[in-house]
Amino acid sequence: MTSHYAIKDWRLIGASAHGAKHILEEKPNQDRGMYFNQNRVMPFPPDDTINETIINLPIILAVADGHGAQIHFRSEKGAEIAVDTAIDVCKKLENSSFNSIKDSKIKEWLCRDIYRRWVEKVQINIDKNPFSENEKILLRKKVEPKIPQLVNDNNELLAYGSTILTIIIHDTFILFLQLGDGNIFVINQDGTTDRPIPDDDRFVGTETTSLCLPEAWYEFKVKLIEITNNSDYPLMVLLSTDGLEGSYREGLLDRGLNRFCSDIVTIVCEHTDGIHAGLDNINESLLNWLNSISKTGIGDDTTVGIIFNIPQIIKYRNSNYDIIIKKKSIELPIEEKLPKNEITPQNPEIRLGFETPLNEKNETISEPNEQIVDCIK
Amino acid sequence: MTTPMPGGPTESKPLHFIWICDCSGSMKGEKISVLNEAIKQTLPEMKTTAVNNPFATIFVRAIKFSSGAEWINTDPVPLEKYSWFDLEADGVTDLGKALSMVADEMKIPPMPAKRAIAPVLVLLSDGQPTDNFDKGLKKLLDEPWGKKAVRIAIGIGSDADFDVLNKFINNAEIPPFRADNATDLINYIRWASTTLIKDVTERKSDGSKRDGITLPPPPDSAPLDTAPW
Repeated sequence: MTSHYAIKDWRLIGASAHGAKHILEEKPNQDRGMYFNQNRVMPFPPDDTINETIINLPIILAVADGHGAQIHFRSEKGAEIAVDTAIDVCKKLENSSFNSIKDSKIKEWLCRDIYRRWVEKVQINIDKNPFSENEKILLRKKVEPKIPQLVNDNNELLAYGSTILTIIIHDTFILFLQLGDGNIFVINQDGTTDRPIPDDDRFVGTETTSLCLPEAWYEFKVKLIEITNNSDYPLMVLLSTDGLEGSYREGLLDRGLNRFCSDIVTIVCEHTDGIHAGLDNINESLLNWLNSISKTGIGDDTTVGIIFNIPQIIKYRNSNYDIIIKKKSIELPIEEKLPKNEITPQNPEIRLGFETPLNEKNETISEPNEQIVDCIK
Repeated sequence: MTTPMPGGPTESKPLHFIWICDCSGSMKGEKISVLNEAIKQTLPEMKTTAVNNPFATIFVRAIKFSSGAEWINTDPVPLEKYSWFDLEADGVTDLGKALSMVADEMKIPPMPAKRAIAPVLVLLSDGQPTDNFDKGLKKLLDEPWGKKAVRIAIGIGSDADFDVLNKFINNAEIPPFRADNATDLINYIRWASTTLIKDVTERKSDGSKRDGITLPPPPDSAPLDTAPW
């Protein structure tokens, strides 16, 4: 399989923050995050950030939110099984193409498989860790009748209730899958924000669909986008569990996930040491931000995974920002950060992957130990 | 250098608490007086309960019904700024009108679609509705947040219509309370504004997706030799 892109054109940054309220109550973080790239599966580590330069497509990213209510007392495990299963099942798309899947009923063969294998793994987990008598009593309790789907014939699954959000970025397509609450945001080439999968307006408050529902595969929301050339890719894609959106008041322009996404792009684009430094800044700050948002918001666990397309961000920055990019030459670990086939000491701006030539006016900047390597019109 | 946090200001989730108070003529005297005093007395405890849960912001309102219905404060008031204004009793029992007005406040908007804790509606009444109660109740239950609300009813004295209060609660597992004397009424009001609030805010603000319908244990009734209304 041949990639459209040269190496290192993507970057993944993610983190899972333990909810402030859960910490107070000595409950575990019931969110999980995981990604797959180059035959490697990596879970989001606790209290740390994922920061990966992507070598080749596809990349698969999954986040899951185990439900917090008492009856979902094993939802932490349910979320762990959810991301593991979603990644495992979606790996079979590695050698697919847009044309090979566009007319298929993705929900029936892909989402159904995720659901079926999640149930199987949960059953195995139950066999290994049988419910106590008290847990059995809890599962037999009547659940809220306002969601009739919940009154089902396999209450054991309720203990493991979890959402699952997955994205597959491939050479020829991007596929979004979502079951339950949480958010997927796309920042388009022009900086506008899209939600490929809209909110489920059947529910109010904390109600949601879940893998623990009977035949839950049917509740998956699916969106497939064709990629015909590099310029089709968005600047950025963000997956988050609902702890993030829930911490912002609804319907206000000055706050919320739209602004969160556009602020992230701004932070990356406005960094005076270049795009990669901006991304490093996101990496260094993300977990602290999520912890802070949880503390001042609703206290829920919050997991976020962001995939950046570096060439598209550079193009966007070149068209929209007037920033002088400065770089201390001694800071740049060239071999690690740059595509080897593009490293040319004579063209330092290309070393950073920027597409615009060095602007004459920036040559006037001279600070000790600093070298101008790029600028944006 | 610290990078400014993306996304803008964050907030805890709102919980709307509404007293629905019967101010008909039959409430005159001791009943309305005890109701006023009980709510005033328990406000400090209610505020303490709220302070202990930083992940929920409680907003309080009250609506009275007699000949017609009227909001005591139409706009939700943050609990820390809330104070009670004594109600007076006179007129008939237009409960249906009051429920219809509460239903308007349960619409989306003004309620948010997702980001709120289930509202708490506490109905206090000593009599039978004199208007179209069923119509008002249907309007309330037709609103998603009206249906999802935790609805509690306190019947004051033996003349209260407990069938009506049961219909308001609309949940066979939650019976209405019966306050046969001043002690009962004070205890139930204290329970609703402290124990219940604590339970609802903690249950709903911890990321719970689907919550059971059980409520915290109510207070015991006053001893049998307590003087009735």
